[in-house]
Amino acid sequence: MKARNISVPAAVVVAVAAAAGGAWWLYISRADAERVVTTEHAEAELVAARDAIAPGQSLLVALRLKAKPGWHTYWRNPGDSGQPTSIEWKLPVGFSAGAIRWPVPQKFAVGPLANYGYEDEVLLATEIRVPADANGRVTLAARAKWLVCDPDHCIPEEGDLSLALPVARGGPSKWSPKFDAIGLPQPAPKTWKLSARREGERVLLEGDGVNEPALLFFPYEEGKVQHAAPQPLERTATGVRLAIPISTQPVGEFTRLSGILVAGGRGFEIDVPVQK
Amino acid sequence: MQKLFALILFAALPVHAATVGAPAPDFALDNAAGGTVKLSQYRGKYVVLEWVNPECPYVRKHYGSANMQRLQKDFTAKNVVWLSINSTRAGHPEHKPAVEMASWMKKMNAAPSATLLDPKGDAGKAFAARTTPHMYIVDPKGVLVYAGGIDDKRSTDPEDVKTAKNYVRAAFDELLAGKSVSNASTAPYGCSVKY
Repeated sequence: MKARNISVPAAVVVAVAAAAGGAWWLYISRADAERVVTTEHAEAELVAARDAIAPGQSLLVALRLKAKPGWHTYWRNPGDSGQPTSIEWKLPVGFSAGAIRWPVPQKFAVGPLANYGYEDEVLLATEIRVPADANGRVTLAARAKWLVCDPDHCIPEEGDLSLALPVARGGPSKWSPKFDAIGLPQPAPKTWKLSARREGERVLLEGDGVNEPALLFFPYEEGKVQHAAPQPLERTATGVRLAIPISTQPVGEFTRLSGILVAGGRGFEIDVPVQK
Repeated sequence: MQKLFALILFAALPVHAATVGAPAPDFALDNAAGGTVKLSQYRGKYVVLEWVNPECPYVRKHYGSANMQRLQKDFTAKNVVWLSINSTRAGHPEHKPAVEMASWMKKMNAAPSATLLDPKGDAGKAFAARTTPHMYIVDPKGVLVYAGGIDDKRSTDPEDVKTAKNYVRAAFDELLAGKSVSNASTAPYGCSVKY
């Protein structure tokens, strides 16, 4: 259950490097291999969008978490069960970390229940703020904890991760394209006029100007909606109406529809007051 | 299309699952020690329902730290009935037949009033039990007065038990003083119930 660092025999690294051609590969491969923590059900490492740390700037650093095929990790609201991945940063003096920028999750049916999370690989990016007097070589460290589940089992895992980078202006790293491809939720289109009201055991989200054939709402908070229940969508004269079943055991007042609306593979952040 | 819709409804938890403040649904389940237990036979007493699965790391946190056993002992000593229910479906790799379930509870030094088996998941679904553990309190009139988590520290770390606010204990502090439960519905955490 404990995370362990894999150590790739130097001969393998050299062989890979030779096959790939060039001393540059040798350096990168060895550095990567030592940074990756491999557990029974996942691999994890810290990756940065740039190849150096610029003083006084912000840098995006992500936990790259890859679950084994058939296994998944969790979003900020895990759904009916499970646990969000957490990152506890250990940074040099003067550095600070923001909150995780959660990519748009997937919904997994688990019998009559549902979970929200990520299959395969996810990059959980965080903005690291760098002090103006940073210099030399800096090590960013973190303890990451994640719950990884398949439909039958759940395993808590963790890893102590670190990433050393030089302080310099630098440029985009080899991970930069993956950062660009992170499916972060976007602001809702300006042409959408959203309103919500409670009707019986459902919240009806009216989307005037919304012309999507399918919508799915992911709430930021637990205890608001029935995660596993279908959300029927109907057309109206001016757009669409999405019916979202309220939790049978609600936690707190349901005053805002706050979360992500997924349409056509893209996620839009919404925060709409719920009229009684 | 209607058939498809029926299938979708069937796959979800029932629309009329137990709600806090309303009469709790009754059930009749096999007791791991033999015989059958009905929830309604305990009318006149407080009843705690604890969803359990020995293979779940969150359950192990609360049994490994003896937190669950302590709650069971403290409240059964106060004339509260404690029912531990395993809704893992028959055929699931984590399913435990009656004998194995009883011996695990014994090994854990657990002290519920009874350990019940719900391999078809009917009781679990009627209560919308989603996690292990998932805790419920039914009052002497048969009304559901608490549904939710065991405490407020979502983790598998037994150390967290020391600093967590235990919602079941907090609910009973109020109930046994003749008050209503101020935190009557909280977010449960744990593994999914293996329906």
